[in-house]
Amino acid sequence: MGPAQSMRLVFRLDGIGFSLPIADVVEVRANVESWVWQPPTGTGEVAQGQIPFRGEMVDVYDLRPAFGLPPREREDRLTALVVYGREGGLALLVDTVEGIFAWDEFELREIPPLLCRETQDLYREVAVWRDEPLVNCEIDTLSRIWSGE
Amino acid sequence: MSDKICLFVYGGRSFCLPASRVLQVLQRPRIFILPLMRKEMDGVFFYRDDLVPFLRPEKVFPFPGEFRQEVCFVLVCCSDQGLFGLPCDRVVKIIDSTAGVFASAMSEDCPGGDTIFSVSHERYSYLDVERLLPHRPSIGLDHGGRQGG
Repeated sequence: MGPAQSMRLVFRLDGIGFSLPIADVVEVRANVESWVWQPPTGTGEVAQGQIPFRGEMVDVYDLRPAFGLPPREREDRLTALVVYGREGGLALLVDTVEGIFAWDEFELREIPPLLCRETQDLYREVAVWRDEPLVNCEIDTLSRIWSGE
Repeated sequence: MSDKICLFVYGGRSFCLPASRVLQVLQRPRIFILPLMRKEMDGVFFYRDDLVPFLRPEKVFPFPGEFRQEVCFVLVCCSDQGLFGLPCDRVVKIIDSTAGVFASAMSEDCPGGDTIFSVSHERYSYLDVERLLPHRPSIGLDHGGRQGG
């Protein structure tokens, strides 16, 4: 694994820390709020809008509802992580990006069985980083959110 | 040799549990929120490098009390399902079980179980650790089977 691949990106949703291998992230786009819209309740829309990315439009998905976190305020500043999932490029809305850090700053641990709902399968590990447990994200697992699996 | 009982106060109510279940009392450990936790859990904390779920009794067996948002102490408890933490406002003392008397009680008089431990004119609800945890029969529905003693 090269130096760039052996790093992890740390981001936050509702104050909770998450980490993602940087190899899965194509670009970080700040201030994307003007591209994001709120679908009417009950329409079953999963995507929260589209943003232009390298000559095409990619769907934007909010990770907050998938992780059971409170909805955002409309005036919130938004950052998108453009990633490549199973079905091509897409953008994931996050609150803030903390930075990119060396892989060896993280220690992966399984989550205690007592902690999480048995039905949740979006993460099975936490990445302990600077004495804080972060949700350890994998693109393949997150892709279930938008593929409807 | 007789068993020891740990007496403590939480939310203005008096509780007790076998001292053998309590590994340590931590003062204000840093508690981290993670998404998709079981409803009974209110975060995780580190104990000797282990990540330990933090259980809120009032989410398991609702009872009137004065709950502080900020946790004063956490009892690190062991169970058949692993370690977990219980909030505690004050540890009264650890005493010999022969110093008091166990008696059955209705659940409304005895939040968290169906047994009262009386000592020095004080009544402590006896917590059955295994019944507190998720996927065990709901507390308050079954008045049979006296615990402990």
